[in-house]
Amino acid sequence: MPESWDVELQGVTKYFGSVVAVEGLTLRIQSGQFYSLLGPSGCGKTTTLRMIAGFEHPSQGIIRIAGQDVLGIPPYRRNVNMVFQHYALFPHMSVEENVAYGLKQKKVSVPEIARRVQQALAMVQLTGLERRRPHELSGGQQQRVALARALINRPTVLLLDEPLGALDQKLRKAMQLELKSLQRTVGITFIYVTHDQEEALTMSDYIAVMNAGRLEQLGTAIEVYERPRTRFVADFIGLSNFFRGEVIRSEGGLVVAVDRRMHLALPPHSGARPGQRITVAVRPEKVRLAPVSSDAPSGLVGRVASSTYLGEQTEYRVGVNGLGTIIARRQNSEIDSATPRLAAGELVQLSWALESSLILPEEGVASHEREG
Amino acid sequence: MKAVEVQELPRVARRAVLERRRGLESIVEPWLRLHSALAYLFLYIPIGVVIIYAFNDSRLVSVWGGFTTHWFGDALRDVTIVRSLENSLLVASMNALLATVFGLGAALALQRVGPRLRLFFNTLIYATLVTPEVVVAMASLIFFVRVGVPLGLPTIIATHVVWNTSVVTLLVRARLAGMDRTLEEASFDLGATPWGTFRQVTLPLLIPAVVAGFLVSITFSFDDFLLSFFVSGPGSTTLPVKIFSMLRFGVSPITNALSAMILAFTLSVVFMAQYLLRQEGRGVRLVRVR
Ligand SMILES: Nc1ncnc2c1ncn2[C@@H]1O[C@H](COP(=O)(O)OP(=O)(O)OP(=O)(O)O)[C@@H](O)[C@H]1O
Ligand SMILES: [Mg+2]
Repeated sequence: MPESWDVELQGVTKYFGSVVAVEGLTLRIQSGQFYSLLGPSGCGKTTTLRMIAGFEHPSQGIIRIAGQDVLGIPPYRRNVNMVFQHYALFPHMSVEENVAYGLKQKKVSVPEIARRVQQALAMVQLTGLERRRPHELSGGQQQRVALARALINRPTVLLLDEPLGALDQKLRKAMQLELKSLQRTVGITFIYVTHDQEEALTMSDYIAVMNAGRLEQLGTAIEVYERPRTRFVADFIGLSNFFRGEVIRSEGGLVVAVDRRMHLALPPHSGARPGQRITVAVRPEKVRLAPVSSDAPSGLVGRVASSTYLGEQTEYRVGVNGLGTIIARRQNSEIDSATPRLAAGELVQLSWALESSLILPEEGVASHEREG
Repeated sequence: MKAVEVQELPRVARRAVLERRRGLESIVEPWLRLHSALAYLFLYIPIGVVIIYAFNDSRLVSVWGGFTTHWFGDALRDVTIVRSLENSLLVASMNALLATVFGLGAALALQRVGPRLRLFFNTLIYATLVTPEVVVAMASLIFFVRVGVPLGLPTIIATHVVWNTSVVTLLVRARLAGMDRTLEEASFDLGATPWGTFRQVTLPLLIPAVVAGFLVSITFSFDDFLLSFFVSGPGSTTLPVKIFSMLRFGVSPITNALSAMILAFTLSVVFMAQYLLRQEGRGVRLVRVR
């Protein structure tokens, strides 16, 4: 059954001269979703938003908004609004005039504009600042004006380009929650661009992870974090330890032979076939560390190289012979007399639950070329 | 001696170096001051003399005969002078209007064209400004005569506009360069058409440069002699040209009075420009956006 999408991108590619900013991007964004585009700097997030808004034209591919192909429709006739990274508030207009701008263009009656401006300002808690100029507002207040100015037009889709990028950490956190609850209240589809993976994880219904202009993985926050499908995603979202090796058969089932020194057991139903080369990723917080008690320890043993206190957690870098450094994180709240803090130089045993091993395809030759 | 070397010297030696340097400054500085003072005197004394003698109650320009303002009255009662004043005001305002419109248009267009075309027009603009005025005047005269345009107020205005369009273009482009282009995109995004965006966002943000360009054009045109002199025809004498023709019969208190009036007019326009631009900087709007 064909569903209706608020925004649909089909094989969208954008070249700037010889630079490929976006390549074969296909996205379907459902009505009312909080949808994030997440990726490192320069991966084409802004370009994607600008194509949806109508400031850039795709070199190839189709963009549909509410089912309609928007090719050739100028930005001022698209029912989408954008919150710019640096807000782009009109410096020569008051807060009120800024917010009223969109309705004025639509020739809405003056009393109706006044009523809706009041409503919009109340929604973002700016009542009382109507007469101020943008330069007389704090960063957070400017951000709210930009939001109100866009939302007052009741767009089909609201595009946000790193809207919290200019705010300090604390304000950022507060605004994240506010934005999210605002989105639930108004029910408008948000397409949210960010390179902050934590922000994307906490706010989004759906995340599109982008890398070098291409879509890397699509999914909910839990899906992209718990089941990354590529090494890039496992590395970019959260931190991972990677082990490369070949799948072989052993008495207990399938294992991965890493550098011929160590065998890592694979979870059941991993889908791996003997002879395949794969990468196993393990999140640092899934790695358990235990002081070595017996004289002849079995399994994975390493020496703590350093420990870093991170507030809620402590990060240990453990040197393992032949494997390099494995990163492990422990919740500080779990530290007690039974599981004391580990000191540098201590010999520890490393282990993790079988299902914590994430199986990723071995990156091909092409990806090596890209890295080099 | 380099600052770094001074830093590296021991404290005593460093002080000696600094003192020697200060000693040199104390010799050079008075001379520099005297030099600037003389330069300013050289520039402004003649102007001061002209203004003072505009109030001189004597037919003889070189003899002080007491204070009077009647030369101003005499000047304004002379029909030919009043006619030339009217011409000057007409030329100045038409020139300012046209140059501002063309200059604004050119500046806006130049940011949209490719780099080659932009380089070409930039060269033209700078060429206009660095070409000696007398060459522009000659060229314009020859052009008008060859094409068969009768000399008169329109030819004067056209010549002034060519010059001032370059000035306005430069002023507006400087302002455009400092403008955040995403403001125009935000306006499009909020549903404003290109014309609506120009009217409500671009123009209000450019207004200081546009006003400055307009006023600079007025002052240029109002006291321009060379261009006007070359391309003026019968009945199109402007005030500076009129003064020049009167000077052929000798400097009179009336020419002094006219000079004083031109100076007063030009200065008041310049002050007005300064005032308006300062107000704009303080956040007072020159135009209301409605
Ligand atoms: N107007 C342009 N002309 C040429 N190249 C461009 C243009 N705009 C973007 N690019 C290039 O396209 C690529 C993607 O840029 P884009 O701005 O979309 O990245 P981004 O994901 O938004 O990055 P960031 O997180 O740093 O904002 C970059 O390599 C960039 O250099
Ligand atoms: Mg960007």
